[in-house]
Amino acid sequence: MLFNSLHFVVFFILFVVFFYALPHKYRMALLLISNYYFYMCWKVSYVLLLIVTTLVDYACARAMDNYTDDRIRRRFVYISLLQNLGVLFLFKYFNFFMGTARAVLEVTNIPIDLPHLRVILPVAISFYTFQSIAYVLDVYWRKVPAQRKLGYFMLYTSFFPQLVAGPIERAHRFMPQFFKNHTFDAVRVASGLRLMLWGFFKKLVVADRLCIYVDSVYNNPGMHNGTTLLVATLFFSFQIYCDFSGYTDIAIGAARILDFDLIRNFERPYFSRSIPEFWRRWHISLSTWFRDYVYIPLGGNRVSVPRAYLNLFIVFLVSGLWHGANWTFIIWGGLHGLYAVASKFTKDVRDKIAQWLRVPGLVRHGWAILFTFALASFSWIFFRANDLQSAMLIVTRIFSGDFGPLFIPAADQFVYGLAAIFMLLAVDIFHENRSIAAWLDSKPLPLRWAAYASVVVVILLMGIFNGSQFIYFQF
Amino acid sequence: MAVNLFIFNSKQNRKFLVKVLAFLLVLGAVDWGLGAVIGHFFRRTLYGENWSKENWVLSRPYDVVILGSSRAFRSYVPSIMADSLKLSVFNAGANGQYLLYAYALEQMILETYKPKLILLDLLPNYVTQSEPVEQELGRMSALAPYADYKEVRRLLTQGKLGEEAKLRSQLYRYNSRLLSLAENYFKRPQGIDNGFVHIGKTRFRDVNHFADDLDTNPRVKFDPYRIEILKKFIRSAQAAGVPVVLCFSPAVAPSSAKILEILSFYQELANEMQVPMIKMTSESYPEFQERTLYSDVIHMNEPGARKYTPLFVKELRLVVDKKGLLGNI
Repeated sequence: MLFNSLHFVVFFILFVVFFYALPHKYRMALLLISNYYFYMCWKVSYVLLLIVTTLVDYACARAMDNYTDDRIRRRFVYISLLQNLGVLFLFKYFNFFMGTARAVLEVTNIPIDLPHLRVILPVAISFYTFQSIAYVLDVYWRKVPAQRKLGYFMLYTSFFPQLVAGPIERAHRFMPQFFKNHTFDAVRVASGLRLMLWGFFKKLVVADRLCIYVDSVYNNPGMHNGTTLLVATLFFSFQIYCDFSGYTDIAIGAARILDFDLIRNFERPYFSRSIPEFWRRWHISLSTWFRDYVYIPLGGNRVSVPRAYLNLFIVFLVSGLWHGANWTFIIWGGLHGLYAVASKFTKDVRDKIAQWLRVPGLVRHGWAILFTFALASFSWIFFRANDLQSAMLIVTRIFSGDFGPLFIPAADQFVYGLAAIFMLLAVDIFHENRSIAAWLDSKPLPLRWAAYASVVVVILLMGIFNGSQFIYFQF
Repeated sequence: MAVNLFIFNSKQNRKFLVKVLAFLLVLGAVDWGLGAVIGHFFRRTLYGENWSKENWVLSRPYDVVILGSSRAFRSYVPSIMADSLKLSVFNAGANGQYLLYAYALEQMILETYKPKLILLDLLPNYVTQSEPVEQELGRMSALAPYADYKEVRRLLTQGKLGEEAKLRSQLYRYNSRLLSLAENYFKRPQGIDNGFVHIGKTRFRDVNHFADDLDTNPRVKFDPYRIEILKKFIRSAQAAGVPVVLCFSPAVAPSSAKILEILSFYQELANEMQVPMIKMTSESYPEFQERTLYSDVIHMNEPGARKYTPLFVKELRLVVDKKGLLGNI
């Protein structure tokens, strides 16, 4: 069930009404049933995998609670990790590694027939396994107690607003929310609806509109010159931002209406002045997950400087692999790893040069934002390209000066795309300086309603209503 | 189990409910009002690309209306036909549209006025499975502004969950149209002859073959749904007392076995439904095997259309006279 479908709108309205109409003790049962119904709308059999991983993680965490000896507790962590990572490997990475091994064997002329699994990647697998891993490790590290009630743990792993593409939640801040008495608070509900509306704008007006141009170019990169490929790449930067942050806004807004607080996942990342800052503003729940469960266990920055850089690079490489079983994603992660290391390595020198040159703050910040955006956009080439060959072709065309006339299949589509980016940037620039929600709340009712109605009108007139998937659902 | 009427529990919640309802009313009014304004301008855009052609053909009654795909659009010169037949003629053939669009447009025309004659230029894939029906219906979203026509609405919502609800919005009907509306509103007819666009002599390019010839399956796969639509096309015109003539214009490529099979199906259907059919293939008219008359394999250029139209009118006259379809013209 996609957020941008009428199915979801009807489901959500009915759910909210029943959720608040029921006495508190029945609400969680309704939520659990709804979570699984929501997930089963993709494919009924997927739910079995979700249930099995949930049960194993629940059992491992409970078992850890029964022992004080860390050696025994560690065994349960291994079982849980083996299960979660094993499921991920089997469904997501097995064919990729076999394919890579097959290619190597072909080159070395070793005739070994490697298997290929006929499996379909279950929706949301990377998200819910990471959320479960976080919980099991937190229990192991005694940061949170193991959840004794299975039903509540099942709610934690399957909460429908954030099940499919996050934000990846943590037990210590998310689990207690299932126990509180949820009350219908008009102010919260209005705030949630406002966030959902903005999420729909991002998805339908910006992301899906730009997707038309990006797909037509990126699916046939050989037919286009550097100018077109460059514009399509810039468009993709905005497409993926609006696709993912639009999804997140809808998820957080829906949860807020139900009196749940989800972690912020985006903070206008394209206004970042460096790649490390970009990752503090982009997919925040994943970045902090990698920080807490990979980077710090690897030693973080409490090790030698070269080792800290290596740790940082490894984290980004793994993050790339998390996104997808393809060399393009690994290179994307690797590029961000290099950017992050280079950024830290050169920070002092850059600061000194800027001081010496007496570059005004505004120019320096403006340049830093543009440069960071350019670096992020360059890496998106690998993220979006259908394969490594296409990515290399796109990079070559853009950087070889192959600049000809811009491919514009439909002028009005192109103008709608530009107008959508303009509207998005206008709002984000405003929001960067002050909270739009607070600003709107300070205005009289007619003005607020005019603003909301304008967004609805723009969605109806400029949105794309083809019910397209969210990009991050594939991960 | 006591149901919690949460919304009525506090003054704040009740106020919120009233506000939500009031906002929805405002939104409905904005949708209706703004939709009406856009619709007002939309109905006055007669020129420009295909999508405004519907307004043109509905703007006044035409005696003869030609319906069909891009082949209809590129083959029939209305002014030549009008001079010869002494009737007003409109070419409503549309690029990238097939039978379902022609059927929808026919229904809109019949609801608005009764022409003296409807010509349907046939394409082989009108009745075959060379393209999924959903794909063809998808292209018909161009007709969303005309969703008030019953049959158009039925086609637009067919197999699409929630489309009926979306079409209740007046603004949604003009989704992605504002720019072209603004552009077309200020356009004046230049080089347009009642739907036919003067494109002059174009160089032949070996592209755009018949979809059924491109299908590698050796057998023709007829589509019962589309055949039923063609029958409905003929039946509804007949019920309105409007004669229909089916026609097939030439293409540069010789008719393949598949195309001949489809043509004989059309002939049988025409006989069964007692409508005349004018079949002008390049085999029966060898002068239309000349590539200079085409812009690609299946589309004529303007010299081709100017050569073809008088010959077609001659054939049409024979058929019309024989059947007494139009009285004395």
